[in-house]
Amino acid sequence: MIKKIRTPLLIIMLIFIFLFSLSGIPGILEEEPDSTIGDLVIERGYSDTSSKNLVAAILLDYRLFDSVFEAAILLISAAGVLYMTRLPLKDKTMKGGKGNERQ
Amino acid sequence: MKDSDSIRCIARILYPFMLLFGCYIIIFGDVSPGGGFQGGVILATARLVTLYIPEKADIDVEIFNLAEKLLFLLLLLLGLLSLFTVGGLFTNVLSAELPHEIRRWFLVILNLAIGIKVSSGLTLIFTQFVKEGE
Repeated sequence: MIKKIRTPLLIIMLIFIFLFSLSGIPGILEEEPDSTIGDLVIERGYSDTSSKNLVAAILLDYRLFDSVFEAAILLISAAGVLYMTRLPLKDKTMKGGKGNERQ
Repeated sequence: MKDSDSIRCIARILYPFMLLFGCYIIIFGDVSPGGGFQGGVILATARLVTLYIPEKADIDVEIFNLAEKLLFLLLLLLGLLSLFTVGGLFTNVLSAELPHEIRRWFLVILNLAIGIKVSSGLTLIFTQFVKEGE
């Protein structure tokens, strides 16, 4: 019984989430605001961050927190690739015991 | 394709220019389009060109791994440092009263750290993929 209604319920939920997220975009359901964050960055970016490149101003000053964790994602993926590929080829079957030791 | 003389010759000519262009993109990231991530990817692509140069094909992965880990710690430290100098987390370390020519050095250092970190990480990934394929 639950299995039968699970898929349509999920689809209805996704449609509601989609419509709900539409309401956050200006110009679709709401009217456009007078000023956006882009105007603020163009106006105050150089005096706040002393960077002439406003993309770098956002990446390295306003949103440095996000940039650091973007670098963390790359670190984690590189560590994962290294872990997967550093094992010797014959020991990759992961039988447990002695064969699983790292190089 | 790997044994072609013309590709090997072109790769030898192209390799230093790719390194130079990547460094240029990183260092001038705060005044012109580009930045740490983009320049780091260009530097890592130079590693792919070296696969055609037999004398440079073997590199040690461990030093890239170590560099990536240490530079990530340096990035976190640079982000936390502004708490003690300015009073807010993850902003410019130098205070806003200083002239722009001095404050931009923080961005240059940050771009360099991110660029070297991204290039060593992607070089590691490319190298491991090529080793796995062989």
